[in-house]
Amino acid sequence: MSFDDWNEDVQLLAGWFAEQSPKVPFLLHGLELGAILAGRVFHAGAGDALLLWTLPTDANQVLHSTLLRWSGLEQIYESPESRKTASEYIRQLEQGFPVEVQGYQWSSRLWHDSFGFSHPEELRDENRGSEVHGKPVRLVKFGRDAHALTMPYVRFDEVKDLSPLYAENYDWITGALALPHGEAQ
Amino acid sequence: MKETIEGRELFALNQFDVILRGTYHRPRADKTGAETEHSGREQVGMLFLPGLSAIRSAKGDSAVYWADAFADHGYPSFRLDLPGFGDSEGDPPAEVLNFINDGGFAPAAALAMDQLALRFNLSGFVVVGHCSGSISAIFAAAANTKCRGLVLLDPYFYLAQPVKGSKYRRMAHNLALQSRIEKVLIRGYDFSKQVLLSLHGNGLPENANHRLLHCWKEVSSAGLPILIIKRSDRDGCGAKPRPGEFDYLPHVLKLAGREARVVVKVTEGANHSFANHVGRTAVRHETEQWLDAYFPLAESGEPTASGSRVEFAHSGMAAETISAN
Repeated sequence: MSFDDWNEDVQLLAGWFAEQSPKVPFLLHGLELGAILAGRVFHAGAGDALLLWTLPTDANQVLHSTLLRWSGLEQIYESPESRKTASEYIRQLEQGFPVEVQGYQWSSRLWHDSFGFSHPEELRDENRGSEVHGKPVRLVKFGRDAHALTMPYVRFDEVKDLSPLYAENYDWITGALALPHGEAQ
Repeated sequence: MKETIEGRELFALNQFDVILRGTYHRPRADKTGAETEHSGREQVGMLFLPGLSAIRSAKGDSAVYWADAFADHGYPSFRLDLPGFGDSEGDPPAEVLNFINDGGFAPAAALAMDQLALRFNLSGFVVVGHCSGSISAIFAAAANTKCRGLVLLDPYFYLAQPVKGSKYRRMAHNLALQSRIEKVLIRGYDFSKQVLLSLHGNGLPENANHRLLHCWKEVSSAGLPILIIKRSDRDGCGAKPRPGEFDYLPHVLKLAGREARVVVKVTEGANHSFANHVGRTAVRHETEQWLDAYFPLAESGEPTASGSRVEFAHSGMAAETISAN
């Protein structure tokens, strides 16, 4: 798999949805790497509005943070001899070798491609994005309250109340898609 | 665009107006359309229960890999999202781990077995659970006789005791686990715990999950075929507990008694999730061998009488029969 494959999948899926229900308002929404994919597909013309959560600089930022988590907390279960640091994994990837992260094979090519897989420039600012595309765009950067969504292990011992985040975004979606309150559920 | 994945179907179960969703992996014969050698006879399916907060694909899509493999081996396989997770409806419980440890998902899993057995014409299920999913599996086995066997990956028999204190204390704890002084700290901690354990006369620890142990005894002593797969590592913190920690494995094997059909396999090189290459391959290999022995397809699909025994073996080594008592 490659970033281009995923991009193509999202593009096809968005087209399929639009074809199935052309009259239903269509919001593209993504978190982290999903935000890049949603933004690229929106840039190509899909969707009536765009909602992005914690948009990274590029795909490498997502891979890098995943690798840090993996080589840190998630390897507590491993014996010290079996553990590798994030820099060791990165060195391996940069030398052309694949690594296994959480059961997935990361190829060296995926790592190299991640530096160039990013978001359309005009969508880095919501006002400019809305202006260029003529459709509502919203960028949400998580604060401390919502970081549980991107740091899965936090949920094991801390239950977070994310209602404020969802409520605020729900209000924006209903407004952006001009839906009567209650129809966005 | 690929609109279907050959050999798989999505299913939905209505449980008191909460819709649970899952994926059905058709067995080998159904995929080819050929006549199955067990047509018209009783057959068991494999039901996968996710662990803590996991969706039905499990970490690294490992459950997808196993379900595909077991279906190819001839066993219809089902991956289910539990209420509040993945594609299933409902709200997740506020304290997930306590809920699971108390058997909270057992009613949903038990009802799912009835519903799936009826819809897919199966006589029962081997329930597969990883970590906290194995806890739900044991509770579900005690709640529904349609559970004909259990595959438990790294099960545990105690209640959670999270690291208490401030965020900084937790961070210090995590850092200590990774630092160079880790071994020294762990050895000191182990020694103090070992002293405490010897003072307590090796009785069950305070945080033992007594309800779970009761269910375990009920199902294992009744002769339900059970395969336990544990991971091992060179520090011994996989299959064997560290010095000073209570070793539940001999205890649960003793509870299982003489009529038990419990097989324990220890696999080297797997991580806790069994999602790495070594782990997923070992689970596939051990489970297929165990299925062939206890749920052979050529006959009725019912477990064969293989005698009362408890086995303990390292992966790749000959099975060694040890006494349950």
